[in-house]
Amino acid sequence: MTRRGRLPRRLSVTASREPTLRRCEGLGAIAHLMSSAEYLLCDSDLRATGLSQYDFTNQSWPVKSPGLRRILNFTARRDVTRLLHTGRIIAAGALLVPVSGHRLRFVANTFLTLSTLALEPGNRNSSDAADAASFVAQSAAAVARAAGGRPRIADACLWYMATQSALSYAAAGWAKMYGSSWRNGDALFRIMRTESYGDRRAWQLMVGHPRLTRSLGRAVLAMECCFPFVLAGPGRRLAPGFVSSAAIFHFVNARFMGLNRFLPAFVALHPAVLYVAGPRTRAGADGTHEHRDDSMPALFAVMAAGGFAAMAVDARRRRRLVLKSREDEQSMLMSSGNELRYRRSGDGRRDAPLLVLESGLSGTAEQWAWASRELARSYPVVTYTRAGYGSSTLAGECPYSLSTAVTDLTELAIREAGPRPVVLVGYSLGGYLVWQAATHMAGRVLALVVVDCSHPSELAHTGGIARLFAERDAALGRAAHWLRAGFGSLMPAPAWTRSMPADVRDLASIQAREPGTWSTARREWRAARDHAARAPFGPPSVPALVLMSEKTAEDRPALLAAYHTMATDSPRGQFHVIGSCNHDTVLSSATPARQIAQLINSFITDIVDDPGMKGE
Amino acid sequence: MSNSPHWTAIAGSDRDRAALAVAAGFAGLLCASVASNLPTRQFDRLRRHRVPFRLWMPGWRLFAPDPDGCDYSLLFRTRSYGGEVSAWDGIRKPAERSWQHMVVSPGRREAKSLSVVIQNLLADGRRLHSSTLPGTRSYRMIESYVRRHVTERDAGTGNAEGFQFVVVRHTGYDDTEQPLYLLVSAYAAV
Repeated sequence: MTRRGRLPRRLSVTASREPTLRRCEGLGAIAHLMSSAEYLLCDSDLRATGLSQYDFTNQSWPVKSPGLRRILNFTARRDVTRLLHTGRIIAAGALLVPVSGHRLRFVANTFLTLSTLALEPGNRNSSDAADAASFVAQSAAAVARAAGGRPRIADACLWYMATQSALSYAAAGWAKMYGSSWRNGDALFRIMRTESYGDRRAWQLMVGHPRLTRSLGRAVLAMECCFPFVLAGPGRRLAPGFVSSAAIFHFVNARFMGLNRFLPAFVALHPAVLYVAGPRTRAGADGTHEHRDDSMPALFAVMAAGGFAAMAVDARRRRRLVLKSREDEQSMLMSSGNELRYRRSGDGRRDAPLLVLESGLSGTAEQWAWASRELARSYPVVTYTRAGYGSSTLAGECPYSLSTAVTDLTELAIREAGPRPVVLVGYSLGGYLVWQAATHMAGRVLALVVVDCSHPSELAHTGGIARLFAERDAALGRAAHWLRAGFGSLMPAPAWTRSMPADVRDLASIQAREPGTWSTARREWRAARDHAARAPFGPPSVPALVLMSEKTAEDRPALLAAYHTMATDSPRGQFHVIGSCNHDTVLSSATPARQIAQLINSFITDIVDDPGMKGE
Repeated sequence: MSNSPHWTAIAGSDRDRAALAVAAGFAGLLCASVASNLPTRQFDRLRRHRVPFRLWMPGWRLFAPDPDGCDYSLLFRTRSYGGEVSAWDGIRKPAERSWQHMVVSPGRREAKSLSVVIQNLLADGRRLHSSTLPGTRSYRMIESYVRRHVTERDAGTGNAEGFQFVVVRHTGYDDTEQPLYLLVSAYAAV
């Protein structure tokens, strides 16, 4: 009686290591073969279109290493590219021949892996997830073959393929959970109606059977989200069912969505899923027992835990830096119970007005870094951070109202100004707040300045704006949620922080990755909608300087008209468009920020020097 | 002679550092892949690094969170030396699906490239003022793409002196929604 004969019957029906590896590399090879055939068939067209990258000497291209650039330029040559694709077809063919030996398989897999890497930068615009999936299959198979007959290494490779397969479905599924069209079942209609990824007849069929289509969409979502469960615990028993469903899903996509290479590329990872979901001990190809090594997932768990711990440490470091903030900051306890952190700089003449700078949504005092430096040469300037942001703390108040922010601003300005008149300057939502605050500070405000100010017309919760409002609200909530969960290290610093002064750049970047920044922004965003619906937004009784970024002026003609009205309705009002910037960069970039400072400077000078105003 | 490697022959004797290193390497790659595929794209710091080889960290969030549900097309018109302006003409549409496309579909590569470059152009357009847009890489790519089509259409006559293009967003087979004209270029020389 052979050893195989003593194994339980269930074990003998699952593929052992070598057949599994062969299936993975064979199916992956089909995807590579199709890919290279497509390139060879359309190479002349694609190259002539100029839509792909074939010149790596360009300064805008990110390849900095001269050696690497030389290699990429060489492989991007037309004759070399064609030769590589021809070689890839031959290599893929070798992997499809059942009798090809171990060494040949190693060479073929390695060639497919390296040639994919060499060609990818040039084909970046035309490559897709199928290329990535077949690369996973072939690169892991190449490592397995390179290791000769070491089963532990082969098992690590198969585990890698299986986990990438599970991740591919789970990542898509869970990201779709944030999409309203997937949740309400409309996503398939939206895909199928397009010429790029849809099909006319399938679309018409779906329109005729809306309930069935919605159920299908939800079934796809459920399959994708639950796929990783096949790798552990009782879910392993469901692996054949999930893998079959996924294969049918890819077949349908290949026929009706034009994703033909996705079928072999993603299905190439399925044998690995079945292998790792199967029993740890099974019959080998030669009749002996095979014991699967599961170190790779264990190591992944250890590394993931380590990564999470490192992110937690990084989050604590960021929090410490945010609370520490800048050395010259002071704090003030407001009547609302909020504690505001603020900086006072500059001095100016004894009768010079105090400038109070108010930031926008999710912004802190650092937003004004460039402009405040310029303004502080002539005037005393106060920059502060609203309650909830940075190191300013928000007293528990439920429900939150924007009136509190207006009251805090008013109190801070009056206390800091002493006998001086006040000029309130606000950016974005801060512009809306200073406009409101001016009505509470009658007799104390000399002038108002607003930059890309939020306007009630855009805060109102109606029409198309309602959808945008909901999207932004959801995005703010998501960011706060994931930051609280400790993923802040994975959030990139906002692009606008890169152009800020070097001494505040890091702090601004860290503040932007604080959970409090996003939850406060969401709270303010909702409060702004309610406030805008009921609070008057009439013309002020003081001069107003209304500034608008060039890009905002171009994109939003209705807002441009509203700003014009705001300026013309105020006494001695002025309106200017700030060139070469958009809403995000109007304050964070040095040139527009300095231009703003100059305009504010001359605006205030005109008012102060005006005999009529002095009389008032 | 068997082509199968002797997996089991050395099983138990290969608990070496190499095996652990390979497993650790793959585990590390998987960690990076997970970290770069979180459900929300606001945490894509790892994906922002513009390295030439992105295949190590595949992006799996296809059609998420919501599918675009739209096609982006290019229309162009030409101006002759005599100042005559042609009617708007479309650049080729993706072919209707067929069973043959399951085996090979060469047109997909061009369509994918065009779609990516148009998306880049629109992203640049959201960020930059229209006067600076023609200086961007995406704009120049689209312009040269359209120029090629103009030249092809104009072959033999040589009448076209300049051309202009429009980026249109439409809903493909669903004609209940009006197309949206997103970007109109200035005239460029052929």
